[in-house]
Amino acid sequence: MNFDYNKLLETAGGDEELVGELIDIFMEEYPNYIASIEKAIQENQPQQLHEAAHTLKGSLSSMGANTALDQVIALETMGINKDLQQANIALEQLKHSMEELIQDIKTHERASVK
Amino acid sequence: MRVLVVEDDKLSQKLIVSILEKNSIEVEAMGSAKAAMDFLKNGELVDVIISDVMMPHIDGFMFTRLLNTDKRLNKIPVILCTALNDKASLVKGIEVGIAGYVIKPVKEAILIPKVKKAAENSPGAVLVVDDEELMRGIIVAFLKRDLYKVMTAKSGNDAIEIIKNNKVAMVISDIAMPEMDGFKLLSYIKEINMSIPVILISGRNEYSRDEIVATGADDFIAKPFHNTEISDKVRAHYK
Repeated sequence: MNFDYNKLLETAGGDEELVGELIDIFMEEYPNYIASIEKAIQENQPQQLHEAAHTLKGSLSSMGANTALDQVIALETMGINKDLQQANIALEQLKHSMEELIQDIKTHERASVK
Repeated sequence: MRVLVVEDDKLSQKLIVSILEKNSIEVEAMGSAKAAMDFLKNGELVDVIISDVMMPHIDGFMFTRLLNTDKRLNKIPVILCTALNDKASLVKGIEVGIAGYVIKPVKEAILIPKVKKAAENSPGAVLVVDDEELMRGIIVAFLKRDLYKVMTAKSGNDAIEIIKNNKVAMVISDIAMPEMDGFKLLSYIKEINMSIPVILISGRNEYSRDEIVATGADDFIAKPFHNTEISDKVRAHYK
């Protein structure tokens, strides 16, 4: 699943307004997180990859975005193991899942506005 | 209660801050351990710190160690929060002496009891009791410069109310006050809680040190006093 609104609502203690604010923060922040991951891979910096992936992991687990979460955990593990050979492939997969996630969030937002 | 939240991920930070504010807790939020250290070193007082483990540059463990090296800051309880699959973190956290642990995403029902429990171990206040506003102000200024949490009372009765309802680690009281004098207040305090140290203050030549200590006071300061005298005696008795 890409976006689990109910999971996020549960995380926010049933506060719909807070969910809206959390989504706004996520939409604003995720491009920076992806950019940090990409930069760490390009510069072959495993520690930076570990940290950047970990930060995004926190957000994705709150969103209930399990597909993207698995991919970011894979990237985090590559950083920890200092083995970035597969990192570019994993990053492409992550970007793809993130696009789907963003689409899901937007679809959900449109549906809830109606 | 005032809590410092240290979390680099803005979404997680927002979530924790919302939970705390909903429970009427005053919150300060920082995006890095560096910013948090600067904030605390600047003399800001907090009862509990909630910190993320995984942060760039200074992580939650290193941050806890930095706090531990500071004589004042090492008394503030730290709750670390981390993602579910960081199993090794718990062991490492216990090693650096944290007060508690929460798993992300943070849940209100889990966080709030832990914060309240941790706050029981937060540093207590130094209560300054004097009917003279100027004298209270001078002592408070010295204590604040030394970064203690300070409370004030202008009478013995006010002081007793404060001690009953707040976490007071020690009391500095003038002796000569209308209604309830310092000696009477001292005996009331020792009745409530024997372990709260009490320092009495009087004018020079009014009482001898021996006379004062015989009443059960933990220490004595004569006016006019030097600021280092307040600092030294409070440091000696503050627990």
